Amino acid sequence: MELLSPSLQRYTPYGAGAEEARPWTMDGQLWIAFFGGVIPVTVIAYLNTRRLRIPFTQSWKMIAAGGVGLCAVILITALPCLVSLPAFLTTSTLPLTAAGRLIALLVYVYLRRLQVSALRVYHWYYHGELSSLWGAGLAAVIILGLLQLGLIDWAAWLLAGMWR
Amino acid sequence: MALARHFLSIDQPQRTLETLANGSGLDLEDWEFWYLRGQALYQLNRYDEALGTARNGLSKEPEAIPLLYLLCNLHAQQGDLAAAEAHLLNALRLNPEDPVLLCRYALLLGQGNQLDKASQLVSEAARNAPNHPMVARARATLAYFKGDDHALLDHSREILANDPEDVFGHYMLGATLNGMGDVRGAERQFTAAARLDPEDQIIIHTARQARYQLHPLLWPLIPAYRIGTIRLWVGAIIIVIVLNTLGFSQAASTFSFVYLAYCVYSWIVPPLLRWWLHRRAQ
Repeated sequence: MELLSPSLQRYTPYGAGAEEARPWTMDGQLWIAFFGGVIPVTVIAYLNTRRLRIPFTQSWKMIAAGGVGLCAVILITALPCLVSLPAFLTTSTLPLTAAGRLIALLVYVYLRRLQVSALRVYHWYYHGELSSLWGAGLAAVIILGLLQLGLIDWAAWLLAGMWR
Repeated sequence: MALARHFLSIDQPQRTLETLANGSGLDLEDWEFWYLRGQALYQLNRYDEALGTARNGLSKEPEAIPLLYLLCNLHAQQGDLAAAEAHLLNALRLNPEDPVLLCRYALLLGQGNQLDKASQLVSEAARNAPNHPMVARARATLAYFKGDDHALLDHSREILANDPEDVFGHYMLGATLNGMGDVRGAERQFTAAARLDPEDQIIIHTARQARYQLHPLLWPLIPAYRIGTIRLWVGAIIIVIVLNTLGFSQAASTFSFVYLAYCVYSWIVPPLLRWWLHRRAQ
């Protein structure tokens, strides 16, 4: 029977190093999504899947969600160059920034859904505390956030150039 | 051996060990001797000794299902799910329709974050023995992992309907109600579980934490527990946008200030209160 074939043989046990690699909090990832954007929150969530022992058969969905979110942000950034938008959308950068934030938050909601079961399993079997995201989160927001800004601007410029 | 078996059945692992140590004429070639000793050591949390004992027993009888089950539990306890799975699959090869073994495998897969396959195994077990208590327990545990609060509520109530003094049932019902934001109901269930099993430190700790949540200083946060963090934030942002769009910018600013103050309260007060109450209790 297929159900009785082994599928845990590649599971990595929580060993002596588990203390250093405790899973990160979920609420901390919300702030990373808000202040950093799609790339920082996706990278942090993906790294957290290793801490939560989520198999790649599930964690690849995070990379896909991050990719879709990033494409959406690039498209929105390039939108003023592609089509003529109503004046209230172009007089200030606020609507486009807010749309980028909203997309990052939507990506976060999906990434959270993918992690929540594993987090419950972690609490149930290992009764462990979660790790703070202050250090890694701040680094992700600053470094990956800047990288994302450059990438989005470059991709949007490229897209607008192709359109013309 | 019969006396040791009796002590183990009434949850007296220390007396089981004493009986096995003092017993004369025990057959050390009998796998059941090693099983009783290993199971008693396991219940006393002496996992390394239990592992050696169970392996000894298995060398006498490689097809002893209770020993394979015990080895699975011991390896799972130590986080070695690959070894636990290997032993359990050996047991399942000998008895592939046993609902207890199927449910145990489902829970092992749950521990390894493979919830889809785990659910299929519980369905298989339910087909063989729909009213087996282990099936309801496995279903409740998997529903908890999946975050399916409604299913968890049903399964916990089903367990308690069969046995109103089931510690696991009370604990799971408490976890469900807590997830739904019913902190008062959760506290009642956790306290009932702690009363039924005063030895379990995890249950005692959970019951204490649930009691902290009922402190009057945390009453303002009860609506937030019920609504949930994400919904609360989305709701607040929508209110601010609507107020601004309608031209009530003063009201939007006031609302934003009050909401942020509420958030800061929710971040600072609960951990401080828990710390203070915990200190006072010691």
